[in-house]
Amino acid sequence: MSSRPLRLWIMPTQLGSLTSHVAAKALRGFSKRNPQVELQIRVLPWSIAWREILKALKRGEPPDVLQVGTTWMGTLSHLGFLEEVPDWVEERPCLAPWLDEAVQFRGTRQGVPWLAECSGLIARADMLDILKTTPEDVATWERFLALCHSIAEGARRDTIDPMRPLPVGITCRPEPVTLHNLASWLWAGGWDLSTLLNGHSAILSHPSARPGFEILRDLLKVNRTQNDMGAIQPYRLSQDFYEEGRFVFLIGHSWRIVRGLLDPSSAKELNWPITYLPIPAGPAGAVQRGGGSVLVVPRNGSGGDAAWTLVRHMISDEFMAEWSLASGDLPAHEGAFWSDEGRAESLRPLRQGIQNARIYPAHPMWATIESILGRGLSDILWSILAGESIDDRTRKLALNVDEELNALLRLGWDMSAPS
Amino acid sequence: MKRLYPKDLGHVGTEAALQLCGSDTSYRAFQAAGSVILKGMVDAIEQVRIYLLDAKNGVLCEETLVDHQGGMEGSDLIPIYQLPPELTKEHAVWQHALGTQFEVLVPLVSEGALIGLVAMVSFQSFPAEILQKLPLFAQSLVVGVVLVQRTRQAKRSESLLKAATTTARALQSSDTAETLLGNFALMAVEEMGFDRATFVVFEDDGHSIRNVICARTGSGLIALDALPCIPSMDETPQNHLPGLWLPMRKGSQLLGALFVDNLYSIEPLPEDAVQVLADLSGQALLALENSRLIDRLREAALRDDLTGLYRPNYFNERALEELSNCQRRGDSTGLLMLDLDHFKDVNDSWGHPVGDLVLVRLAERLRACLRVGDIACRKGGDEFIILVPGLNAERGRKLAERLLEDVWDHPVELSGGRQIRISLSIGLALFPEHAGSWMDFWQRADDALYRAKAAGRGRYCMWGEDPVPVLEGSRKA
Repeated sequence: MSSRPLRLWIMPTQLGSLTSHVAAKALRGFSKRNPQVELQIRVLPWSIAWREILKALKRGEPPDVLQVGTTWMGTLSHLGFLEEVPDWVEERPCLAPWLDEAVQFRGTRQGVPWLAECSGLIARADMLDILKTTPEDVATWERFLALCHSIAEGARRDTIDPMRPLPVGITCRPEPVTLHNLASWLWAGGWDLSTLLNGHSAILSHPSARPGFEILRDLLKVNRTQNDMGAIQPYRLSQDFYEEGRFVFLIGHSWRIVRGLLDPSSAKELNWPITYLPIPAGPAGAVQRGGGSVLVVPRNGSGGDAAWTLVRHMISDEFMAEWSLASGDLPAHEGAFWSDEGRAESLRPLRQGIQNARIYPAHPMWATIESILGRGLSDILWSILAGESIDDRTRKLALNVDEELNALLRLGWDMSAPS
Repeated sequence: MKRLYPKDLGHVGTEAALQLCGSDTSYRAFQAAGSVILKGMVDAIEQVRIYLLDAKNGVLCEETLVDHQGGMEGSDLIPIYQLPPELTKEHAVWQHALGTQFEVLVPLVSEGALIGLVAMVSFQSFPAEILQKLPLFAQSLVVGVVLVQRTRQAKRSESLLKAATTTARALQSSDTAETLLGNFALMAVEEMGFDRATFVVFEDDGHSIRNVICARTGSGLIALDALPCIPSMDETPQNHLPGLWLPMRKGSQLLGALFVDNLYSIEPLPEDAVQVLADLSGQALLALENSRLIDRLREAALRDDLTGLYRPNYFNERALEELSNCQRRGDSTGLLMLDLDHFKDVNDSWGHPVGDLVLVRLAERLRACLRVGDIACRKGGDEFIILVPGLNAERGRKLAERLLEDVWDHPVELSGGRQIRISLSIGLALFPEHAGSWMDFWQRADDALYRAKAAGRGRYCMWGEDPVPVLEGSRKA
């Protein structure tokens, strides 16, 4: 036995508190092959994970292996907290070039892409059948909006009627997930965050953000979203969709669809069949937001080769088969999951979505940028809900966000200093 | 199915408050309190969430979420303005439908101000008699919540105090201002837990930057390739950015400023950090001030009163250092000896004050022609000596020519539009090419100067070579 357990920190899957059981089960193979290693797993809620991880790294007491979001890599690499990945850890290529780019820092590979995702429209397939809707009907903003109008005409607003649902669930909460769900719409409107962050004083107030605000305004309007619905927690919103059938569309994550594909018995748990559709194309085309998770080994950890062996195991077909089955998460690497002939066709839209996805810029201060944008976007949507004008109030709020972002960017005097 | 509620809701609140007081971490405390509320409500509710107010940002932060499957650390944020005013202003219990469920929000109020919120979710509408009793439940719970808040604050203060003590010790053991500021920045990052600490030291004008010292978590002290963008020190910091500028003033003069931040971790800055940092900055300020005074005295002692060039003693020290550096680098160093041509005539014709003015102007021209690392010294009277690191024969000749021409081309202006043109003689030697020791080096340059003067002035002479006339004909004093 080694003197100290190998500590792994991960974040919950959509299964919430069951995540640690799923992880322990999926890691049995690793424990069997490495009996000398005692594994200790901690599941951190996503919302506090960033701070907890930074706290541990700053104190010099990090775990041996960590799951981090792709957008966190810029900061952790910049601060010099991560080990370089040894050549022997990854055997297969990643699914998309952006997954490789997300872990590169000044010519070195600082993490191993683990899970990949892309935003999309999750739709109730039963309602699409009733409405005789084809994928082309949701291919562009105009068509999607027209479809939402026709759904709204028959919807009940006084109560929840799963057979007369509202068009689309949108929440305005000031949380990162609001930004994650709505970024694709802003991007499809022509808003290019990466370019704007790189030396422009107008970011959210840039004219290219306006088409995105307009489509979001129209969607909130056609939904006749009231304040109480705008204030719904994103988790609650998805419950309203999955459990209560309140909406035809939800902007979100494909995990339930993947689980249904891998384990048909889990599809039976759903009250309605669901399907994945890409976010409709706006004036600047169709843009899905890509993201996911990376496994990293902190520089001050004491796991050594055992830590990298664990990472290698966690991207293996053996581990991912178990993990994806339980969680609906998608592997970031090519492998048995993606090449299985039986499901390749069903997974094709997701695979294409991931391969063509756009990611947030890998900025060292991304966590702060994300929190400012998330809060700002929430304020803007809330003002739209209150019936305020895009030209007036929304613009003022966007200017406030930009002022704050620019104040932050001016403080980045150590951006190019070596780690 | 009709739901059962407990008869004594106040008792449930008290039991939950006791849980808040009894656990070792606030995470466990809130989870235990949430469980007590869930169980105490006799299965009438499905979920309990407890929020505390972050008054600075106007946001309610979820501390725990407990349901019948268990509990977890909360992650939800609710901006105050997104809640109905009857709840936030009038502190009334507020019920609303959530799909097929119902949610009741119970404000937690202490001394007339909202400090938190309990959210309970049920599959049935909450009966009116229960809604009426919930304020009593909240009152009982508030006692425990206030205690948790105070304990948290006390823990934060204790940890900050410990860090401040360690920092103060490190500051006491720093011998120079530079080390002290470096140690301060490092301690702010390593002990006090900030992401970055940046010290900016200003010149005497209070805005030009003299020096910047920056420490960053994970990297220690780092060299910056961009100067910090300093805001006006009277500016209110951005509300949401976890960063803070602390100006360090002596009277109205701005000597320096410390910026600490958590821009990477977005961890809020500890509330009492400002005072602790201000106290520690006082120590740093004192050291900075002393160091400036010492620098000024030292400079004054090293420099010639009239010309501001270095005195011979200091020049000799620096020259010896430079010769050993030169040997290590494996290149060469030049020594130029300068003498004003016919300076005695200037004194005799124009008087000593004009002679002094000529020396001052010559020193100004030398400074204008030399690089930062070159060392110029007034040897005495009208004799000057310059040490030029990295100088080779070719560049030495060019430099001597340039000095002769520059000084000639900039005559000394006197009152009434009168001018005095100055010519020089320069002797030049190279180390180690011409000499193996400081004494020999000096002697070679002196010999070369003698030859330049003897050959007719307005010339330079490289040791071992013939003097070269630069100022000829009318360009010669």
